[in-house]
Amino acid sequence: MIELNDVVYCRLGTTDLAGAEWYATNILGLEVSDRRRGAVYFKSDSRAHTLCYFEGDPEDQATAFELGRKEDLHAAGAALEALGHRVHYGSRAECEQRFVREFIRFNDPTGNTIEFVVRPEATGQRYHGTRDAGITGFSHVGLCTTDAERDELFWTTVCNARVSDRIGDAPLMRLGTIHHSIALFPFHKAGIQHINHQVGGTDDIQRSFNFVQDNQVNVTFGPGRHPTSSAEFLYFTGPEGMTFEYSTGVREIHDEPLWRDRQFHFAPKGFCHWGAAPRIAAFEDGSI
Amino acid sequence: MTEFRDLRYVRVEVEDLDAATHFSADVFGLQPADRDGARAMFRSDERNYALCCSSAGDGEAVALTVGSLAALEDVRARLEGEGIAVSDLDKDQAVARQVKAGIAASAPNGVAVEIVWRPMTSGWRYHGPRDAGICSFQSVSMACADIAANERFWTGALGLRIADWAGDAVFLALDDAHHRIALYPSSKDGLLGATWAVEDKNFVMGGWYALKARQAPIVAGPGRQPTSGAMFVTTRAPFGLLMSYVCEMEEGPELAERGPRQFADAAASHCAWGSPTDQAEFLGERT
Repeated sequence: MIELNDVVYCRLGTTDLAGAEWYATNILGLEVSDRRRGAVYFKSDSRAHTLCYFEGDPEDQATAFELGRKEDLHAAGAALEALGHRVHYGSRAECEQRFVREFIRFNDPTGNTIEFVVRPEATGQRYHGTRDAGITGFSHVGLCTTDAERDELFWTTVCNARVSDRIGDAPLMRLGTIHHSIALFPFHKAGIQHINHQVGGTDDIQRSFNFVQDNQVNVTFGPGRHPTSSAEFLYFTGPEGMTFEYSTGVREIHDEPLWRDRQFHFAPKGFCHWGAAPRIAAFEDGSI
Repeated sequence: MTEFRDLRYVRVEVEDLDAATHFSADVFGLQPADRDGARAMFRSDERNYALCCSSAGDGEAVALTVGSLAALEDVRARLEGEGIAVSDLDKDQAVARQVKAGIAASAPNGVAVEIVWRPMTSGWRYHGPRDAGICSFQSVSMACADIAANERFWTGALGLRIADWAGDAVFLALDDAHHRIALYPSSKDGLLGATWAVEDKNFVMGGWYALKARQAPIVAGPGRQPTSGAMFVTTRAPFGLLMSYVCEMEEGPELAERGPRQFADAAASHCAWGSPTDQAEFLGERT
């Protein structure tokens, strides 16, 4: 079993790095933490970076998860190779690009690029956003899946994810106590389906709702409240069509043995307690 | 100073009782209660009614409850002392209002203020036609062409306490709630709106989607008043009244202790979230 501690960063290719940076700072509210040739790094909490935009193909996307020690990483690499995954061991230069000590890269069964890393850099400096979006940190990713059952098995049996709830066939899975750190949404191709940042409270969600609309940003879902995690949310569109989410009040699961995963409708009422309807492709193509 | 027990009811003039009932009950979620040929009453709590839609020509009114006949006479004396004409509610008027006794005076903006004793309480709890989460009748707002005169009327003769100002809009308290009456400078005179407290923000936000799904106009919100702390969403009834769901309004004896605060004459003083509105009373002079 590969023990994942947390989701740590996303890497997104873009054909317009300057535009992506403008959006990430002025709309999303992240802070530029570093720049390299062809890449800009953003922080959202005390970690060195939680998002990187780099010059490249917008379909070139990676999601990274943290493991405990390098022995765990090598064991994970061997386990993945034994299952037939092609595993790339990161070079020193690639590690430096990611602010990690060591990492491996492979594709999940759908074809999403996944990086397992050890010792991602933390900083002593807190995040201070360009605008007051109230962000408290990068929290979870939604990944596209071409076969939810198969991929759920990968994340829950090869790795240590546990299903907290399902919306239709889409599993919301936890790695620690947070209701979900990773979610899988049925879609016809691989990719990051959405990137979530937590904000401080209801006021941050609602102020951002008006702020992003005033800035001609397309709100695709919300403000609403998820019946699954009980989090209040807002989904909106970013560079290259990426969906970003703010949420607050996500449920924590502390009595691990007593929690029972619940089945919700793959329909607006499974996604929003208040009555909002999603206009997000992967939230509308359900099978249940 | 006389203590008012509560803000009791609001009465609006309507042309079409059926349309008013459809909106108040089916769209907004109040419970249809007593009705005759000229008046339809709606419940939101233990009050036998909080909203009266009247086609009887008895005018717009807002009512405050007193606890005794002596208190009623006390308020009468204070109003008359300020040179304000006071009339008794006659027997038919008292029956129509479902009170034992009462007096009425006209506020400078033309809305009748009725001071009532022994208004009817229902032994049956409120049960709305849909699960709107309504808990109680919360507050009434007024449009005032002469804001100073109206502030004087409510704070002088009636003795309500100023909770806060936003520009010249004034929020008036009569109990532990941040405000029960709000006066807004306006080009018009008369009733502006009424608000109902809902259980929590789920019913403000859920109410917003429910109102939109029923093609009700959203006039303001979802938003939060920086003054009262209340989260709100506001629609407009076909009879013109702004009707809001609110929650989390500040409440407690410490508010009187804090004293009134002056907020800027700006839209941001009416919504801290920046929700758009075209309602002139909520825009302030500055943007």
